[in-house]
Amino acid sequence: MARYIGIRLLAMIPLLFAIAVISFAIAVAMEARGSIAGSVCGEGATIECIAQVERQLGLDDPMPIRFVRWLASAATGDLGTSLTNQSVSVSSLIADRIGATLSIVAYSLVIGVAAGMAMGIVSAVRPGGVADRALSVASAALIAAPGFVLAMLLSWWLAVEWGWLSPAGYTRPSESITGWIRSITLPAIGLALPTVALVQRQLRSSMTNALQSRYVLAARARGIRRTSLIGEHALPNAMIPTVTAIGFRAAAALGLTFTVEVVFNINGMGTLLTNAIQTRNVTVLQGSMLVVGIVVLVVNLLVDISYGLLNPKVRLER
Amino acid sequence: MTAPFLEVENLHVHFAGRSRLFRSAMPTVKAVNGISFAIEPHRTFGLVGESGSGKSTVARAILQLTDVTAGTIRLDGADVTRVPREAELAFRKRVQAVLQDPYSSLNQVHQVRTIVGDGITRHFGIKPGPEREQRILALLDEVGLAGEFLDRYPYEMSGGQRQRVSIARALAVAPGLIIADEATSALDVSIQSQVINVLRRVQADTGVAFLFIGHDLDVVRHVSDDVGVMYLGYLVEQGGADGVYDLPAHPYTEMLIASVPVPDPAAQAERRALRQTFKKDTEPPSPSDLPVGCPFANRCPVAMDICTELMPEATAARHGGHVRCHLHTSGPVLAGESVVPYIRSASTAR
Repeated sequence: MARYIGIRLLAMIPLLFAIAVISFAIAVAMEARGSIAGSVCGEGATIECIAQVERQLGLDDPMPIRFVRWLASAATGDLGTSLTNQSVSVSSLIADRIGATLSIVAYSLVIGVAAGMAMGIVSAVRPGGVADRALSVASAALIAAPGFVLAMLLSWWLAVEWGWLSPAGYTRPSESITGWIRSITLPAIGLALPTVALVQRQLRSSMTNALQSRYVLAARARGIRRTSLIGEHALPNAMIPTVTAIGFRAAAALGLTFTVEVVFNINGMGTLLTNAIQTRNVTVLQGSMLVVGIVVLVVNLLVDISYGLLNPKVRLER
Repeated sequence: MTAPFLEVENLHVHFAGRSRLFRSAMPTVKAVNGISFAIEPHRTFGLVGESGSGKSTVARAILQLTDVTAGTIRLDGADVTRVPREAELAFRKRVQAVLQDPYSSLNQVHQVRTIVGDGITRHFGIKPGPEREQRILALLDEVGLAGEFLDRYPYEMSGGQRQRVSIARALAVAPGLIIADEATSALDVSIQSQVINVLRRVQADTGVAFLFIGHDLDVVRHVSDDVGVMYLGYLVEQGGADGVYDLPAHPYTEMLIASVPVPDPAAQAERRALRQTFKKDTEPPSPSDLPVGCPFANRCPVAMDICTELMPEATAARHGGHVRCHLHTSGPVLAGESVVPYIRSASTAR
């Protein structure tokens, strides 16, 4: 298993480099000649000011040199300063916001996977039964309706009417743990709803197959308890494709946080990125894309590891 | 003769078609239609027939994995046709199964230790530890596998090794009856004989009774003391293994025998000629729409009028068993004699 994880880690290096290239290239492609210096100098900028700023920021250097310079300082944790506010470093902007995004995404995955697995197992135990049909209709509805819309409806009761949760804004765990949980629960639910549907569907189908397999039949003939048939014999097999689906969803959820961040008025990575795009804030954009890319890589690593834990074949073959 | 360990009496298994919204009701599938046999300890009963003849349904009915429509199953004299929930565990300890496909019948995420050991834990209450480990090693030794297999996963083993693990898994609970449902069908011929030898040794050591289900008459004859030939849920012929093979009384049994290739060219030519007499293109009737008379009538080279009108009753055959065929009761009565000369003369006359 250590060797398996080691190989996975090594495989991340070229991916990291590719993410760096893409983050840099997309941001650079957005910048029109002189636009960065223009936005630094402000309205009515003089040509002198622009030329001076470009020299100062090294923007008149060739692309590869700019990339290497950026990558080298990024490796030390320095992602430059925000173009709209030269006194703020990109790293501190990201550090300030990534906590909200990561806690919402992680929380949503916990809710989504737990609820989806419970629903998937209930469906698979009696496929075509009343519970299965009700749950399948529910998950179809969850796929059809955007999660944040349903979360807004929920927020009407849970936050506005009953006041259990906070309807908007983000409280840091350092300020108040309960406040933190109250602030991220609704966005996390919003993000979790499609995950629930996805996990329910995937697990229902793989679990139905597993329960009809010969090894489960053989286990039944051996008198193995029903709970153990489901939990120890069928579930580990059924989880193998489900974990892959969860991995895809985790990466997608990271990209979709900006919707719930906007809806619930939370300053996270999603809003940071969209603002950077709108204001052509190239350094912030490069830096946050790089960081989000790295987070996705780490998520993939975790998926690969749990995949290896579940499937002995994968663990030993590679 | 010792008292039989397993007695099956007039077993019927029908699957009722469910009607659902927007779908017309499915007809009832009559998979098993009144079969009876018994197996004594230390003995092996072979059940042969083509796919869909109801062999595996018989196995599942005995294993309590499907509901019995009518008839009685007795284990050591006690009725086990419908085992109540509280008695299920005790029942499972007495009847075990080795299933057909050694690939899909072992859980790919479990090591051999777990595959063989969980039955020990369940039935003897021995938690994982040195004592259980000893038992598993003894079982692996019994089926000819070394201790290094403890940590193996199914995909790390060959088909024959997997099937040995399946046998060890069945033996783990020390059952009185093991049902081997096509246990060797998926294996290469050389591996088949190894697995069969394992089964024989196990039987000699433990006295377990076997119900051996297969479609290869040669293999079934080789391992069985008695055989039953199934066709569309009916036991059309049964008796001592050699007797049924040498003096087949039912045309279907003869067809099964003729379908097995033999190394001797002269004998093979004879079998080929015999095979020509059977109506190859005719499909067997559907088990959801069985004919009134003998289900084999539409493929039988010597069918008579009565065959399409009445299902024949079991009559004594010369090999000491029974046969259900009108040739032995009416018309040109064979009275238990072998059907081979009769089919041959009928086909040459045509």
